[in-house]
Amino acid sequence: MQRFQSFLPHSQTLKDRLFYWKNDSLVVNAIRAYAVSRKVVPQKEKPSKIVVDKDTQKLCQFACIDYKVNSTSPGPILKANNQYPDWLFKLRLPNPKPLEELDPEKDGWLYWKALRKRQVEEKRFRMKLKFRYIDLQDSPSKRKFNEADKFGNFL
Amino acid sequence: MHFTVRAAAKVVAKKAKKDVAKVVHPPYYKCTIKSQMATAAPPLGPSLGQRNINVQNFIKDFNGRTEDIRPGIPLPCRILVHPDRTYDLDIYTPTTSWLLLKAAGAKRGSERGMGPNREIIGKLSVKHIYHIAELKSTDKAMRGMPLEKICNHLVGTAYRLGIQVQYEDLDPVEYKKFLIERDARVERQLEYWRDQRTKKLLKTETTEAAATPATT
Repeated sequence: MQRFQSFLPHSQTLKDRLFYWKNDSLVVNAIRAYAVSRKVVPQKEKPSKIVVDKDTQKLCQFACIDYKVNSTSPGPILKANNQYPDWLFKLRLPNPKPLEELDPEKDGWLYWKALRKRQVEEKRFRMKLKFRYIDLQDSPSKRKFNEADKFGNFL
Repeated sequence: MHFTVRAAAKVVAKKAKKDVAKVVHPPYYKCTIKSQMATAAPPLGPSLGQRNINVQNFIKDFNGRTEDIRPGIPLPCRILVHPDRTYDLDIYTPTTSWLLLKAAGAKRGSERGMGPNREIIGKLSVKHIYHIAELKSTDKAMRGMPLEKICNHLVGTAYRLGIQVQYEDLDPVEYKKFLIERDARVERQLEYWRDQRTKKLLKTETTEAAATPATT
């Protein structure tokens, strides 16, 4: 059976081989013809244990971060602007705008970064229109998670 | 198919004994333990045991030291094990994500990562960030780190969670409206994932009923 065995990939253990010899008898490893379905146990919904204060008056006046048992206030009180250092109001805050709202004169490198990202996305979109990426068999397991579906559900 | 003994004259390979390698762990261990709720259950128990620490002693020590902290708050811990089975336990201030979520009044993080289409789960002003950074600067790991850098780190973490940081102060009335909208959204999300799970459950039940196992 050398001709047959040459098609088989090299395997370390006996379990990986289709056939193996044991005391002059040929053992055939069982080939499963069905998909093994793992038992999906219904998950019990656990109530969220996170305790969060929703009182916005408190949230906006204090930094509600106290974690000690004996605490008088929900956290340090927020002071007036002049009580804080200057660099605080010049922190770089990541608030990415889409490419349409960016300007190369004003935003500089951020515009070019967003442009490059958009170009890559467009190329990927064009590649997917090619024949080899079209699924002729419209099977639910092959269907990809569309961008529209991703955002449309919760809007 | 007809097989001959002579044709496939391959020696049966001896099944290699799976040597269970004894792993030697480094003496430094990082973990996050909930305050007053340390238990010997995995993953903590086995990983401590592998490093030759008396687990019950450790639990008593940890729970004793966190008695002034409210129970259930995740605390990052750093354990250094000495050759004579003693250990140094450093308990840090609560995890950044917990602090940020609490300060913003949010329970559930964002589902739509980063970028212009990201989901905003809460808002904070730079003053909140400043106070959280002050708290974090008391950590052993943050020694010598300027407050500005800590603030930058926090802003980055907040962005990744979905929290929007702004220079202006937050308006309580507007923020209340935002939180109500957010709660409705979270309900829709949880409903969606519940539906997905039930669909999956029904699907596997039908396939199990239909499948017939093949004989060897």
